[in-house]
Amino acid sequence: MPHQVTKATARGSQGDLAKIADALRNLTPPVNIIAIGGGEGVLKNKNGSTTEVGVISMILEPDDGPNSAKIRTALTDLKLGKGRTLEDVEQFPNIHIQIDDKPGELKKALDAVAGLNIRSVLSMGTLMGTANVGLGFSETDRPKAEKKLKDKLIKVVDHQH
Amino acid sequence: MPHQVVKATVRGSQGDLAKIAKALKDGVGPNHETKINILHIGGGESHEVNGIELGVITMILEPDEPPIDGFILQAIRDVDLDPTGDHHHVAHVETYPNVHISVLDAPGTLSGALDAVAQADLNILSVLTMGSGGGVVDVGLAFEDETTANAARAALSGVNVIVHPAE
Repeated sequence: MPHQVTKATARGSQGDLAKIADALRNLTPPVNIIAIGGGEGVLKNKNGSTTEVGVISMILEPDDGPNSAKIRTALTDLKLGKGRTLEDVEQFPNIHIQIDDKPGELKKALDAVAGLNIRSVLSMGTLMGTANVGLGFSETDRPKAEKKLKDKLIKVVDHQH
Repeated sequence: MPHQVVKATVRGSQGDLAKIAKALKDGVGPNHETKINILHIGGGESHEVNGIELGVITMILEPDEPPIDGFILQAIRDVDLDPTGDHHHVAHVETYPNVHISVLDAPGTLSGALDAVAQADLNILSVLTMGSGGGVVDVGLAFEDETTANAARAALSGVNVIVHPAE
């Protein structure tokens, strides 16, 4: 079974990321963060104020079977302080692709899935000139995305737990 | 010089990521002479907050040393995200110092590093895995400025992580 992406949205606040990582460490079995990416989004509102929203996408292990629900519950129930919790926790399929580590290669993969909504993107490591990247899609879009990628000869890594 | 982190915020919209990647692939600079490789990338779309859905993308790019960093920012700001509609652009994009750390590839090791930064009362603007191998994971943490980044390096030196030098 391929890994999922776990994506959390928070109203940006210092220290939330550490609390998320703590919650994952304290699960049984402890959950390892294999890949993580994200940051605080900044948007200027029409009245001049600023909205800051933190978005973190993660690939976790183990995340199969009952571990998936444990992760979701731990993050949904996580107390961030001052009565705050995460705004949203989502899990969706990750498609692991391999591309050449050079300019334009990620663009080719993104073009291949044009028309589908990419929910997340995550670097998963580079080795010997090959970059591993995770693209997150809804359950509905996942098979379409895989087909489109393969049609354009983008290598899709088939994961089995 | 260590890499910087480029962090971009868009009002969540399908296809924006491909347009940003195209701008980097096409090249930056006065004559688009420098093609940019995306070494590491991470991000996603937020849940709707206050009626707004944001996409946040964090990247480490190469080359990214001055003056190319400025050209990169300009190229991303210039991307027309809706050429057939309202011609809106990226809501915010900036570069930040990257603190490169290595932690053991095991549960809780990144948490220990993040705790140390939180206890030092420092704000992490972005986090990005930069690869793994030999039982170690490389992670980039972005901070507002070099002063904050150096304070983070000091805080991280007290925990079980390798902090890569700034220079």
